[in-house]
Amino acid sequence: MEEGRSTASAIEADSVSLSQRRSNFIYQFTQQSLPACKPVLSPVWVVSVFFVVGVIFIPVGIGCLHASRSVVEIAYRYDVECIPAPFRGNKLAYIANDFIPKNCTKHLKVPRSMKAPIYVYYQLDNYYQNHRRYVKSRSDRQLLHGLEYPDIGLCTPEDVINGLPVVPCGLVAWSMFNDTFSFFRGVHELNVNRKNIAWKSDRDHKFGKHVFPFNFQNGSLIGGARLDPNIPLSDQEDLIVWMRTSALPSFRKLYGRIEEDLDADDTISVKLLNNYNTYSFSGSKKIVLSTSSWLGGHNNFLGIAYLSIGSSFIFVAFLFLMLHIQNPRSYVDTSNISWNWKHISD
Amino acid sequence: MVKEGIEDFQRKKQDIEINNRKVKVHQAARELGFEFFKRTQTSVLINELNLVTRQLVERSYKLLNILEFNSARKRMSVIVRDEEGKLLLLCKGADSVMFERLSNNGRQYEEKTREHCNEYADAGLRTLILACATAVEDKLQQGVPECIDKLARAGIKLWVLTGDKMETAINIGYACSLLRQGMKQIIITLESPEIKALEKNGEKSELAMASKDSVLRQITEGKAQVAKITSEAFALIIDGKSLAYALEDDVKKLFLELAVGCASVICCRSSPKQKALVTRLVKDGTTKTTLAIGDGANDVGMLQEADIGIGISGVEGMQAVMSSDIAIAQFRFLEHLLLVHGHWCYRRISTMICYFFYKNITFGITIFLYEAYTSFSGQPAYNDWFLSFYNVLFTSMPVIALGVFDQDVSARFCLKFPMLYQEGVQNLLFSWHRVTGWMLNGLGSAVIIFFFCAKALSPEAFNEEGKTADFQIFGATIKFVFEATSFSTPKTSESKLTPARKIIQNALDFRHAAAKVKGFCSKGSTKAVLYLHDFRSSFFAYSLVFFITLCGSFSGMKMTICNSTKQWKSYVDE
Repeated sequence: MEEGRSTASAIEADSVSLSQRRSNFIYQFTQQSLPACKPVLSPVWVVSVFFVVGVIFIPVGIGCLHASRSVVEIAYRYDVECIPAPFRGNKLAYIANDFIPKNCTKHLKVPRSMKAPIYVYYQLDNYYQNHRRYVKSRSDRQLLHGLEYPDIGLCTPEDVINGLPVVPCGLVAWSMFNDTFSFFRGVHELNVNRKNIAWKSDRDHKFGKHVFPFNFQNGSLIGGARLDPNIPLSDQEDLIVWMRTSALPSFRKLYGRIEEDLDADDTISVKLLNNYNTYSFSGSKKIVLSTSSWLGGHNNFLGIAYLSIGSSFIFVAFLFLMLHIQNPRSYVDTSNISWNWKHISD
Repeated sequence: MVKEGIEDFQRKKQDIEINNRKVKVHQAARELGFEFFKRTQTSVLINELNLVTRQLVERSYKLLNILEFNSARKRMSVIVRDEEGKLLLLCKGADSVMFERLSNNGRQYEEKTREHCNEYADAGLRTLILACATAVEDKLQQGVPECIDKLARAGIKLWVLTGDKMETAINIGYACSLLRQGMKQIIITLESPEIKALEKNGEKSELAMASKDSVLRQITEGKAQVAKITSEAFALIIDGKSLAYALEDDVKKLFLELAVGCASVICCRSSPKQKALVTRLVKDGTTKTTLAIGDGANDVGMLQEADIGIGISGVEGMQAVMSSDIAIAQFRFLEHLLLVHGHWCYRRISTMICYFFYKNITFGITIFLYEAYTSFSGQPAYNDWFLSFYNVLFTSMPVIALGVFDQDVSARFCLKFPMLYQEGVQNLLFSWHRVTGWMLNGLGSAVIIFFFCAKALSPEAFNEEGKTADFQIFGATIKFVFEATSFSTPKTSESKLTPARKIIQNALDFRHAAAKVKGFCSKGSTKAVLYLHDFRSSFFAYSLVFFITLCGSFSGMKMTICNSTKQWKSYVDE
């Protein structure tokens, strides 16, 4: 092609148009001569990149770890503790029996001072909210439009009860969590803000303002909470939070926010109603109080990951630097390429 | 002295006679409309009467050679080239000598001419017969010898299958450096006297047997020669008649072995069918890929038979082009086609396939790992739209860009180091070792991506508002992270490939290039050569995976991504 070009230039009378043509993008694209750069891994580059990245990662890791450690978290598993002694051997009977009172009071100790807002979560373990049949069993259209939307076949078996459609239909809504919690510091009850716990976009766009629960939990099998038929779905924040299915079998969902500070060594009493049945599949329930940081909850993983990767990068950078100082090679020297080693020993 | 004087006189008399005769011929020619009016040192100008337009046209003929009259030959010849490039050999001499020289299909006027000669002789005139033979110079295209030389240096074996005579073919062979001075020639031909005798009087079956024996013997001798002398290069030249016997089922294996052992093979006087048969023989007999290039209708069989058929569009019409896989305009473009585009194409396709496997394996394995967390119910980790668009939209562009733009060395280098072409011939970039390497890379990437994201995102809240990561956020984060990873990995993984560069050590040019390498900054391809086997480059690739994963998971948790995802999700979900 080079000879082609040189003869072309000899023939071409107007050289201005030729050079214009050659800098034309289309010409370069079709001739495969677009300008490009090809980074080459030379020792200088490798060592410096590893070093720079390591140096960046370590403070980031320390920052993440600090943020995570600044979060104070209290988690307490109550599902076994809250079963009265006579029923410890037969948990299912206990939970299914509506006449046994499910009240339970537990005491939590605050380890460090916690600043408002303090988030209250309930954590469920071994609960596969990400099971395919379960995730499928809902109708988002119906949540938005209510009874006007008739096509709720996916919600089986919780779509029609006694010939009438169920709003909200599906297993996800049917299995809504119904334990309740209230918190006391001494005698004074802590105010738990149950508003604004769901995602704003869900409240505004996914749950209808004029959709009311209808024919809900009317069947023979009660799966979870009952809903007030007078409150529209967009205001039923517990439902909205529950309907956001989790990704993993162990998850937390936001219950509410405590807007008071808690001091270290305070004792918080939790009065809870242990209604929800996790005993039939050996799941567990926990109550969690947690502050938050810019990074979220108490999760050391990210900080530790950044730190370890950052330090290993710096270690590798030094290792390569030592190797390079010990066995330096210029670009032209081919004697150290692995397939040339044999020739050296000849 | 008297004797000399007499000889002198006789010569002068002859000259005058000759001159007289010449003058008379000129006069006669002028009467018929052909006037010779000028002669320069190298050419002759003639006013010719164009019989169609009845106009006198001036034409010049370049004098190439004059073979003077000589009593042994009894004739004089002159070789001229006319304006169109056609070569003419004109001969004049005594009738006995000239009639012998006529070919069988030029004899239509022989009887008439003899009659006329006899009439003239009877009338006391001296007769001369003038005859002409024509030759057409088929010039080699521009750049052909260099092209052939480059391809030979690339390790490509070249065979010539032509319909020309043996002498012409050998001449062309020398002209395009297929045959070199030091090469020994093994010539297999049926021009021996015994065969010729049988041709004239023997029967067909006897002729066939003798021919076959002769060919077989010559092949065996040739093989013995090649086996004995290993230091020299051999050239095999075989003509059409022998080829017919050499391609018979019991002989063709031997013939192929002999041909493959020679550096060049020239088959002359081969028919189109034989060209196709030879191509098929090489294709089936060896495991190599065959490429046939031709420009005429007689090459069509060969072009169709070969693995790749290349037609040259040009003077001889478009039949070759129409039956070919690739058409080019000049022979010399073949070197660019093979050494640059072929080289790039091989590399691009193999890398693209490996990359495609990698990204899909990563994708599949993240989903598979997620299943362990959904009690194997079959819930995919990602939204349906993500699943559908993954290959079409999200990860298609890098693969396409790699397949379209990737150049390991520039075109200039490809042509400068023809040996780089061997990378494709030896299939170094698509070995099992490499494919599995990419797949394992995919497995490793998937594991890292999935577990980093899972551990980082759950079960605690991920942002200041205390929100926890739900299924959609989880899927979106993993998606983002591993698209970022898959964009960056190919370029870094690429550095740990190609034991192909071993080939370069054999090329003499490499030492020159190595010295010049310092002058090269942006086109660091030769530099890359020297570091390709470093383990540091593969480590770098993996470190980049970690880096991207971490950055991805970190930013994946930040409000911007989550907010935008949740907003988008709310509109997309039905």
